[in-house]
Amino acid sequence: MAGILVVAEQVDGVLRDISAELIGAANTIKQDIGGPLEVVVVGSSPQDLAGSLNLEGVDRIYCVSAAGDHFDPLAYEQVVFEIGTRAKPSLILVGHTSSGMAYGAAVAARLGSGFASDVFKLSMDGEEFVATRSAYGNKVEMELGFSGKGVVVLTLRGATFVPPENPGNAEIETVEVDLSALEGMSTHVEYQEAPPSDIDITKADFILSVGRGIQDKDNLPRFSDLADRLGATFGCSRPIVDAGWLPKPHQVGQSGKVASNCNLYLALGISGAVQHLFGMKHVDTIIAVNTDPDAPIFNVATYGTTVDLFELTDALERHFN
Amino acid sequence: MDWDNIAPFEAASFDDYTAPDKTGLRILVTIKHAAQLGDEYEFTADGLDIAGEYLEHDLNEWDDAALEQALLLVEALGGGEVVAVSVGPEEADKSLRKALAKGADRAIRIWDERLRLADPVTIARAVAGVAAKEQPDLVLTGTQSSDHAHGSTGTALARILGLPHGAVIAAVEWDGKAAMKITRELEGGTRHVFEMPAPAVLAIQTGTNVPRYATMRMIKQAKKKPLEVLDGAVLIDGGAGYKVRRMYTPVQEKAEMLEGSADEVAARIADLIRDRKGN
Repeated sequence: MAGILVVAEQVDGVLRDISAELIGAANTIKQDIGGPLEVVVVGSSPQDLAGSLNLEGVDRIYCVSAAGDHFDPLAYEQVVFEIGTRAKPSLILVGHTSSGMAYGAAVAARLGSGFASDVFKLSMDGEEFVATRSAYGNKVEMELGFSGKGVVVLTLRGATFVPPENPGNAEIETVEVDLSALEGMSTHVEYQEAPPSDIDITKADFILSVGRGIQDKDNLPRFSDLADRLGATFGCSRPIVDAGWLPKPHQVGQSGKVASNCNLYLALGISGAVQHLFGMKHVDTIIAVNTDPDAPIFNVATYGTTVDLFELTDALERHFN
Repeated sequence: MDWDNIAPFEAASFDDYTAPDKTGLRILVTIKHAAQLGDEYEFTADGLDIAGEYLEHDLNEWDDAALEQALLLVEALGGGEVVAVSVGPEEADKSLRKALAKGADRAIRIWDERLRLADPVTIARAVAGVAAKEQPDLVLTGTQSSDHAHGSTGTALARILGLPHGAVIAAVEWDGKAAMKITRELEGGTRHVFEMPAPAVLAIQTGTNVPRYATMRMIKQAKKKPLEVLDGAVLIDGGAGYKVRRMYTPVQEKAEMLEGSADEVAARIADLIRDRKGN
């Protein structure tokens, strides 16, 4: 058992943060596994991306040319399969992202390998890999093993592993992979950016967000009024946007906008799904209001309370009259 | 299994099952009777799961969105059949009956008590076994389940069936023929539009549609719709992605809890806001 293969992720020619995070994750276990840490990058000019992937711990970068930079799950599966056959890694690391979710499990199914998703911790127990992930709505954790598997494919949670700070000394190798058999299986049309909005979650330093706990669309104005009164940007969790109660620009989290400049976050009636808390580690003060004392949001919040949301909102309004 | 002994996961063989003849479009939808953990809970004696009495179950909301997408497609295309498939114990019939009440035509449930801890690969092998018999024109799954959020079953299923696929799908345009226009959602809210041929496996994101409610009348009618149960014993020892070693409550730094009446807590929060923001 030896070797790790990391699959870099890019969108439209730009590397995503998860790529360096995967390398950081691989470094936490490289010594225990033994063998090289190798990275594969796919794109129209993959050599241009190789420099940013040449990070501490990386021994080799495989550059695979594709017709375009647009993600195609079958092409990624084929590339990982072919590079894997050549490099024979015992561990393959993929991001647990929108794209990673579209091919990670397919690689595992094709190989009959070990597989686990949304993993946030890697370790070894003797000769066996151990992957740790959440279960039951992020309230408990489970440790998974892969006995009898000489290859394990894992998709790793984003914004969790620390990317290496120092540059590496990797060998860069160009590899041809024949993707012609996949023509017509997935054809790029276009990217659509979210429509412009006067709300910018990424720039806000103080955000008041609401979640399912507000119960009804008719209750929204009470909370948006409170946000105005406090001078906070009005945000929300995914279910509020899914239900059509607020437009997408208000959504905080992985599939909305990461609150990257926030230092005060008031979460009202939000349970705290992993995706919502994505990229929130830097927030100085998180105040969470939720009637469920076991809500996962209390694991990241600075202050918490289980008092009734509506009574609290009324009382807060009086304080900022 | 290693690089010199690649052994792709295979669909389960349900030899005794015969699918009805196809009379038109057929869409397969996967359904999970997803669990929710309450305030209090205990682990099973073997420490591998939560004891059943502490879990409440309901139709997984991502599968509800997949079902709605299937029903919308069938309605727009002037007819067809929606088949709901679940891997779960008898209680899972509740979610299948809900799917039937909303408009699915038939339901299939696969079970064996030894599947309690089944991983996404095992579930995918089970659904693939049914799909191999049903020969659907399209397979829709939820992007993930609300309990374990593996986000993997659809992708594994597609590979086992050898079909093109997409994940985190926010829109599907299809005229029932060979080409579909699909929109997937990326991090940060960007959408990626692409085309792929049918049949395919698409993992549907919530927010794609607003799932319908079943009326009392629809619930009553659904009781007459066929629900077939298949023996999941064929899945045991047939390959899985992982084995659970243990489940536990993580030791975590918890928030400092503010106690007292709503007024008292509001006063503390107001102080915190003024302190941080100076207003």
